[in-house]
Amino acid sequence: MNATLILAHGVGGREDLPLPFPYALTGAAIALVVSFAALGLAWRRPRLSGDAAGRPLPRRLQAVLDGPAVRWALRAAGLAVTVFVAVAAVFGPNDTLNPTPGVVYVLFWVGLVPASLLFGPVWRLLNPLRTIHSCLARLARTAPDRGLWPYPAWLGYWPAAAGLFAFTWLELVWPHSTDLVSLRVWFAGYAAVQLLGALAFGGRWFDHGDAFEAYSSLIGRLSALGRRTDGRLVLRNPFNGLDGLAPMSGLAATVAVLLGSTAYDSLSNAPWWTGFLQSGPLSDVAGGTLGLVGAVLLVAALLAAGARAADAIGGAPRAGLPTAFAHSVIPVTVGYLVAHYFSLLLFEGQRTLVLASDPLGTGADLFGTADHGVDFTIVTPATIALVQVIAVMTGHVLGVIAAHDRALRLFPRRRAVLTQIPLLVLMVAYTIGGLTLLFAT
Amino acid sequence: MPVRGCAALAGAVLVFVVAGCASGTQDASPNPSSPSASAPEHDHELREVDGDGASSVSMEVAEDTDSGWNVHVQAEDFEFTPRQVGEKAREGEGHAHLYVDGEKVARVYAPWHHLPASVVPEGGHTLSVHLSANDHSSWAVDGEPISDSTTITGSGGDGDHSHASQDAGSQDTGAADVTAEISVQDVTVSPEPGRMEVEQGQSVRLTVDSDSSDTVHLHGYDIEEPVGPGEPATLSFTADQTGLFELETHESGTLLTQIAVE
Repeated sequence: MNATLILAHGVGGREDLPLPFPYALTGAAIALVVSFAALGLAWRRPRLSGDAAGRPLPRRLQAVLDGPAVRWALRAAGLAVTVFVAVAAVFGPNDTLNPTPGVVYVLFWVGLVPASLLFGPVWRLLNPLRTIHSCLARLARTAPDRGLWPYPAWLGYWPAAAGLFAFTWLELVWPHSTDLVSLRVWFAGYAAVQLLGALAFGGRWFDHGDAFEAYSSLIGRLSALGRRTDGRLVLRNPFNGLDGLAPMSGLAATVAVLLGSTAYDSLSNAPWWTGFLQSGPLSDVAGGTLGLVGAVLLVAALLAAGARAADAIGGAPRAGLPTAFAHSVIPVTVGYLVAHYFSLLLFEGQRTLVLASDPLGTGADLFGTADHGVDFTIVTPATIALVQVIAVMTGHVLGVIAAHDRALRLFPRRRAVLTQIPLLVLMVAYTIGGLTLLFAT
Repeated sequence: MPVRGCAALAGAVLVFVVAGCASGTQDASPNPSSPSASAPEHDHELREVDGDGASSVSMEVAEDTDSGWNVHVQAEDFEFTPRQVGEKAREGEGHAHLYVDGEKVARVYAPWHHLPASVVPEGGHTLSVHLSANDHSSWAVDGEPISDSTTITGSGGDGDHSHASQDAGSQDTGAADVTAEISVQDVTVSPEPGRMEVEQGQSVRLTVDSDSSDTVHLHGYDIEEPVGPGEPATLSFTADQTGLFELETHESGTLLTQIAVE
């Protein structure tokens, strides 16, 4: 099978129809109204208390959930699924019937969004690399958390930002993204870097160094399930989850990579962009890389400009402001991720489950799903469009509220309302930009 | 606990791998094995089946009274499964490909197929039929594709010009709701790649003309047709699935157009 086609989203032959204009217009109007309402009406003193908030789950339930049985079962599940996919990736046929690309780009990458929204940072519990490291450390009789050096503060989320960029580059730019050789090389390299990182800095490396753990835990900040500073598992207002995200070096870059890469995926669906790549002097890879880098830098530059303007108005110059407001871009990003990938998960997810039943192309039917087809009628284009607008709007509203509360905390009260104007402009720019991409590509 | 946990985990993974391999090998014997990586035949990988009880094919060709040929593909122990095309290979199922001198000219989903005069140049040519699996790999026994071939003599496109245009009339300008013609010259696509809008349920016919040999592929619907100099590809389908789909050439990966089905 030929694998030289650049597929949108890395996998699958179908893309969403453009958002109908009235939907896009309504969405943009709501975004503007909500933003100004937030300026005029919202609370005047900070209300969010971050990780200190939440109603604890019963102690007995927590004991079970945090207990070794559940933890090891989750680790075993993560490792088993990884082994299953690795076997399919190494021994399965290198063609469109191999489930590996679907598992990687759909069930794993896109599926982590709803899983993390529901249960929080789930990849931390499943991550096979963390399990392997932890087992190796225990066999070597050293504490898994101890590395050669302490994890440096300046490193922060930067390894995750780099990892996410490398992964989205593989997914969206590399022409052989569904080729098994590419996937094997990428993931082997990724695993090697991660295990070296863990060797150097201990198991804590994975918290911010593993791209997928960072991805899952940033999205998981919007989950109603969280952990309080005192260690209790709590049900909490997702705003507090978001507010509790500790600002760290590289956080803004990580968020920018997530939002920028998704925007680039939308952009690259546009016929004019493909035409530009085909007729231009650059190769597909060079042009695509420039496009992806450009989208990420644009998102980052907007965030930096918004935060800097807020800082100028607030009159309290401080370093690291983009990072202080990066958390408010997370809901915007998640809303856009949902809008962008919702139908892919539904349709290609089905196809992947069908293919996974015969991972080696031997005619096996491990899960009894090999005979199923993909049901494209489970959602209509109208439903998809509605979900897209609602997701983008919800992300915008959550982002505006999170930024509002953070501004009240950071700036003197009298000026805090004014400082939000640039941040609101930033949110409106992201949201309308996102709707435009959904509408025009 | 920790070390025990690791041991238990290692054991669980081992059991899992062994079970996976066992089920794989167990299923492999009565079922078609995976396509061999080598020995491509007409760009389609071979898929070996056991000689006993394997499908077989023979072909009868009769000149049509009007133009072209009527080809009767007689496949034994084989079922044409157009609805499963693009899906998993299943022994005894699939479709057939017709080749003229090794160039694919048609995909066949039924025993009877009309071969238009236009695809056979003047003079003697070899017409062959291969049985293909749903995933387009070629069924094969002992490394040889399950196939049959015969010789036909073309009269050239001009020999029966009136017939050919009549034939074209019924085949190429038949009742499709939406039609488009795209031409590729030296990697330049004209008209420029854009977006066609189609209502769900409409019939669509796309004709692609190219100055180099390639395969035209409609994503999502997964329709593939060969194209070459003087041999335009015609893709006819009913737009039953909504969404946005790309029409591309397979080898060069050039976008020809997008089709928006609403």
